[in-house]
Amino acid sequence: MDGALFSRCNVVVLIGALFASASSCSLWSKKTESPEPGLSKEEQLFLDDYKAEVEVGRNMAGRLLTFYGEYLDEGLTDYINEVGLYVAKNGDYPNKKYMFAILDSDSPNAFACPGGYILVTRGLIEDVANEAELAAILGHETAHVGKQHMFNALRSMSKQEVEKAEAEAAARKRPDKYSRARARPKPDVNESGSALAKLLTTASGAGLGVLQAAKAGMGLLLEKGLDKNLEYEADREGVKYAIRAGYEPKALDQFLSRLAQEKIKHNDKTVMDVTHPPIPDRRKAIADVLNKMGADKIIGAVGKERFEAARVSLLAKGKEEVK
Amino acid sequence: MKMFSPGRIGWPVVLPVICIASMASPALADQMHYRNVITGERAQGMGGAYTGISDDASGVFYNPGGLAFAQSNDISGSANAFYSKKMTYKKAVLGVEDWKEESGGTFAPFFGVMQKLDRLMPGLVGGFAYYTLDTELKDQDSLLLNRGSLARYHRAANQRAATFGATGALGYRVSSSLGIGVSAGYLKADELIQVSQNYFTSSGSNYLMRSVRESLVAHGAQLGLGIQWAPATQVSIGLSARTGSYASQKYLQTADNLQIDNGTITSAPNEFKSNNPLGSMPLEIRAGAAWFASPRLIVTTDVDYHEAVTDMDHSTSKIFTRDSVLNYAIGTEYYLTSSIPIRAGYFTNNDATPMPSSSKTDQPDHVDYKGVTLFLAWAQPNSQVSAGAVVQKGTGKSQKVAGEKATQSIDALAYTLGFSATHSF
Repeated sequence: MDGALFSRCNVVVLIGALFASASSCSLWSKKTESPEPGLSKEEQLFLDDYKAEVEVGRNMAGRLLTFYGEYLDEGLTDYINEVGLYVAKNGDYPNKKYMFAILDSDSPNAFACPGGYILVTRGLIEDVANEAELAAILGHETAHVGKQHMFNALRSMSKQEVEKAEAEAAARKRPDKYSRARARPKPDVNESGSALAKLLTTASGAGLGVLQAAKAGMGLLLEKGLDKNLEYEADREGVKYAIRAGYEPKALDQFLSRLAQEKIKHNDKTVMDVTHPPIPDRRKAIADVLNKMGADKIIGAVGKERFEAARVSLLAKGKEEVK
Repeated sequence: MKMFSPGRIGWPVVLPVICIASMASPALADQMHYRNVITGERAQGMGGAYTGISDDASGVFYNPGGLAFAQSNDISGSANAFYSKKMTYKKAVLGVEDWKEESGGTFAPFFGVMQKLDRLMPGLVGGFAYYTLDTELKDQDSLLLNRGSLARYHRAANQRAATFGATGALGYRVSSSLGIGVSAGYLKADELIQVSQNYFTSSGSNYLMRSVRESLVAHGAQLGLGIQWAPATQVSIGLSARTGSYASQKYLQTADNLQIDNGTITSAPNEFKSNNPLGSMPLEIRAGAAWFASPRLIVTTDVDYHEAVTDMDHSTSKIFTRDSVLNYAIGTEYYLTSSIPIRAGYFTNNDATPMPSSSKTDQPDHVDYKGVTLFLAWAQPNSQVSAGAVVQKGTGKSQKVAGEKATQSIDALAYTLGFSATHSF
């Protein structure tokens, strides 16, 4: 799916997210009782898992797009998709589907949602210096998707843990006492009266488990972060994929180094700082993989001109806003 | 009743022995008094006692200050509601027989959206609502035969009327316990009445034909201010005011009268025009309080006041003059289960039209209603549907016979069946 199509699909994604929110049966128990014709039991389980992964990811992507808004630049979105898909093709999971879009946020960050929905912020594209750095970052995100880091983290949670994570996320956004006094009871979707909703929404393939998992996933993406070892793994894999794709090996290290200097200069703390391990530790992990791959002997493409040409409208817009 | 003044156009009051020479036309809908249709999904269920709550899209109408307390982004609408109204004019026919008029139909009472605008300014909420404030649809054909000296009386009356508004509003949370809001909107009243009457006496020597057409189109702008304050965690007090100005008003009344008395033919055509019949738009003030007793229970009450306005052009009949009027409402919402709230309300719908006086003629009906509402809703995550009824019972006074000073009492019964849905996102 190309970027332009993904842009057009955002409305569908949002509607899908809304439908999911009205659903009423558990994701984790939503396994097909008997395999579809022509599928073995194992194949059916794989298909069920894939559907669930896509549902959770679509819901999360919809929430991120709703929260940040989409940065609408068809040319730039196409370019991000082109680079991202090329890196993914050279990764360990080339047969998975990946879709890339740009979030309208100044803060440099990228999000990998299950099912292949990868969202990068406008701020990240502004901070990146060339295509090689972008490729390594997108490689990092495709590694998260390919290795199902987020989905596995959510799946490993028990239903109670998912509910707890959801409740914690809700508590962090807890409204003030006056708003709480106005809040009405949370509808009980398991009552017999909800039978109609079940009937109407089961057809959409979504469930309350999807909604809960997506909410818990948002907590991981925006507040808690994944396990730090998974982040190191994504860094190592991302660098590997980018090198395989022919890019300059040290691009991600250079980007992180520059980012660290900027942070020292401005003394600011972003979502990425909260959800990722410290930059020095990440650079150490990247150095290990570069050593193993003999990166010093590899001459990769930087793609400075192509990158600058693609983001020219973004920078021009930024300059206009400064004026 | 208020079609035209017999004195002004020289209507000869013939046939005094029969007090049904000419029934007045149906009453004009009340363009200035907004309690005939209760706006909003939750608000309708609670009898319109919503000024102290107003935290959904209907807050645009009740109190824009309440928008600041929005719980979520909402889109809300009422499907076509069905309404029916029956008026019984006691002993209006020859002083012995009741006269009945009925109207009914469907209309779209409310549509509203509300969006939190925190990205523009933390605490800012925007809303838009379209609402029907009053509606009438009447198609009545009446035939009376052989009543004393009356051989035949035939009356065909048609009326369509709608008063509706479209308003945008902004609410802003000044502090955790205080919200303020402003609204700006458009209001339109559009009404057409056509009545044709024919009368024959049993002697065959008297005939009366009367055909009247009345139209009113007025539109204008309204501005509103609102404030909502929570003096305690579970209590909210709201106050809002709204007024405006008509940009255009057009009233046209045409009448053709033909009378034959023992071979003598009298014709009395008449036309009356006004470009300022309604005068000013009344000031409207609402005050309300809500008690959020528990997550399952809310009790709320409202008082609203409409300022008096004076008919500008009808020097004789003053059909658009309105008295100041005070109404109140009390409502409650209780969650029977966490998914099924029930809403009920009691409200008054006192008429702003002056009470007919026996020293004048051709005055409009005055009917004071008391109403109850009962709605049941079904809530699911992020969405809610509700259905229920509003029943109003009224009593009042009319001057149903044109040119006569006699008054009749009125019994009225109106009910509305409503279906609404809200989706939060």
